[in-house]
Amino acid sequence: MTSMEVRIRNLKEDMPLAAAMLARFGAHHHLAAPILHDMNVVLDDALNNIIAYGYDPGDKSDITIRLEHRPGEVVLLIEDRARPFDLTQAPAPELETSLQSREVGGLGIHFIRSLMDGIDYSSAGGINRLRMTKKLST
Amino acid sequence: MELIESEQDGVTVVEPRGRIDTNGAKPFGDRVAALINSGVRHILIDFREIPYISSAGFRALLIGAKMMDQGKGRLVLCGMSPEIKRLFEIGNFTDLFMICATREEGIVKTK
Repeated sequence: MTSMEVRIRNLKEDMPLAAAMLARFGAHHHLAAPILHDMNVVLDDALNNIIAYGYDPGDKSDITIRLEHRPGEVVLLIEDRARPFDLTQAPAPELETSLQSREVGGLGIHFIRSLMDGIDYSSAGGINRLRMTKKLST
Repeated sequence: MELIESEQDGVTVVEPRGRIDTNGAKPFGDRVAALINSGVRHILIDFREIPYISSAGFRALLIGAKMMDQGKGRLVLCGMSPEIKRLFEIGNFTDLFMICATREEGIVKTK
């Protein structure tokens, strides 16, 4: 098992640091393009949810992003000190098919739940841990 | 996020290059909205240089589609990878956007 980790500030402008790590991780492990694609979407939506909704305005905090390569799967682990939010318990969004009434609230969570094979969330001691796994099908 | 624009048969083709993620969605969405606000009514967005799009990008696309719908114009998408096409299906967006395989087909449908 090999891993990579990066710590970013809870700022959208720091999100490319996490995306860059995922690109390095993908190249190092020769991840297939569809796997890397799904991991990129999930990483962006997970961090965006935390940064956009998890803090009071002006709150400064750190977010740790860790990637692990295990037999048959990759793991994306995000640890933050934002307001606890268990996305595994969030209601499914309404995927309205009428254009003018369609909204995108909850879409990021829907993508995460659809694209990943396993999601575990826990919150203890002020730290939230979101652990997501993606199977490496051959 | 780089945006290449061209005109073909009366259609404005927008080709974003780079990821339409949390940070890329703003310049992309702002440009599409500016084109529509300036009176452009036939826009084809070519996804061939887009590695991925997250929910922030879908929000920008949806805003553009609503504006275009109200303005009686046409916003068409083309050139997307199978992975991106799958996101449109997961998000139930395939009925909201006309999606063409190639730019050539997209030009015909956007005119």
